[in-house]
Amino acid sequence: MKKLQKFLDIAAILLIVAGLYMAFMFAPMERVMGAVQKIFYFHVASAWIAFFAFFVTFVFSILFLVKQNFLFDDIAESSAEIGIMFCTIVLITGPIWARPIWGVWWTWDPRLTTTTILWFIYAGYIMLRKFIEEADKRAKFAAAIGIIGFIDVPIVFFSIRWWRTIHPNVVQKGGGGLHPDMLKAMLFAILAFSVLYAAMMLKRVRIASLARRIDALGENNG
Amino acid sequence: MKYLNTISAIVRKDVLHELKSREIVVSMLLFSVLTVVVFSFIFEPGSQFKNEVVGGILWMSFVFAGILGLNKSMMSEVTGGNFSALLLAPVDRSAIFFGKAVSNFIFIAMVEIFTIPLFMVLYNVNIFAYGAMPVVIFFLGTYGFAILGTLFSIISVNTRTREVMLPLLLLPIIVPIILSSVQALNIYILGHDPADASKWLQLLAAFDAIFTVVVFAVFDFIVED
Amino acid sequence: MANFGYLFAGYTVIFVLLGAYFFSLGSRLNNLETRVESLENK
Repeated sequence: MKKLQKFLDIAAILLIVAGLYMAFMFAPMERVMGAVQKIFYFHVASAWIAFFAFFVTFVFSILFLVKQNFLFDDIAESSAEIGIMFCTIVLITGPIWARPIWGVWWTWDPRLTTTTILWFIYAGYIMLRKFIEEADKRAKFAAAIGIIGFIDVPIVFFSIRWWRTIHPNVVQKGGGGLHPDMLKAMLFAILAFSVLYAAMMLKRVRIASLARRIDALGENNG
Repeated sequence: MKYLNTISAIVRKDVLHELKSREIVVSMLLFSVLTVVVFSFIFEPGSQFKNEVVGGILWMSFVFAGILGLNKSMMSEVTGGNFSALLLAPVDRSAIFFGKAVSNFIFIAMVEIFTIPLFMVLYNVNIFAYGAMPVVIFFLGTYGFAILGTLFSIISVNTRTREVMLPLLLLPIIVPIILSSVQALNIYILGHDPADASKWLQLLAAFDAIFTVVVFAVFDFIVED
Repeated sequence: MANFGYLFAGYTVIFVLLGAYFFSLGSRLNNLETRVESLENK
């Protein structure tokens, strides 16, 4: 376990350094947007990981309700917390990119708005967990939010898309308009952040299970 | 059949209780009318722009009043230990849930029935100028709100902070309901082509159907054994 | 080329947030491990 952790930590750091090289040196400079376009690689990678992390929370919330194994609850909780970290990065880097390109910090585009709503759903999820003391109730109620929240996301997205849209649509059209080297740099950034996600998950899940262990030990002693 | 009997028994209990105390509907009604009045200060009286925002004002008044009522309704269940007693009854647990959801739906619908005419007088708009379709919007929107609101109010009253969690959990999840109800209502208020409203109505119906199934599947698992 | 400032700000945000979270995880883990050990020895 310890060895795997060390390996993942080092791999994540090395891959991120390599990812930075890919983004700044390997990928060509965007002609219209200029240097600020280089935010794109890690912005997209963060968004990818955030969605993936919330998907993991969804899956393990279901598993917890079915199997009642608290390890699944720890995984769901950990993934939500890491997901909200990456979601925060998306929400901050997005406006930083948008300001010089669109001339505004914020627009009510479907993906921006959906990501914001997503952030609020999982912020609620994490707050809820802090406000319930009984481990059993906490896990069950949080699982309900983890499931309903994730199912809600596509509905939110479609409802807002019917409402308005301007976000550059890179992923949908098979990389439409994206230089192949840029695509490679983007995929590499996603790979680097995936390994970072795995390293963080391993730590966060161990924190959660140790905290559970401390609770159990405390009950036996007191 | 037994399932429906359970639902109707719970609804009857809630309605009788409410007819005696009148706590929930009256406080919700006052609050929703008050919201409608207070929001009038955001634009010039009689301005042309008003018609584009009044639909949103009406829905937000229902949402805020609904959150108030849901908390009140679930708190009175939990403080007396009534809810735990209900769960001990030898009936399907999701029937208990849908009973509560239907009573909450009825309470919110009562509020809407009184607020809408007042709203139409105060803002000088006629929602029903193009037929009775807006009734369907109110029905679908309120149903979705009631079903998720009831589940989240059960969750929220079980936390340390009690009613604080409900709006924090509920509002982001019901964004599709708010958005599509307001957009659909605006089509009727502004006199646009009613055919445009149908996609919003479909979205509302899909939302309601999806979450009825999800809550049905999840509820049994999350209440205490 | 005037938008280097934005680029710099963007990457600063990403790595300050990730770095802070990453190291806070490490220190939380160490704290808990020592606490569990001391509780188990009791």
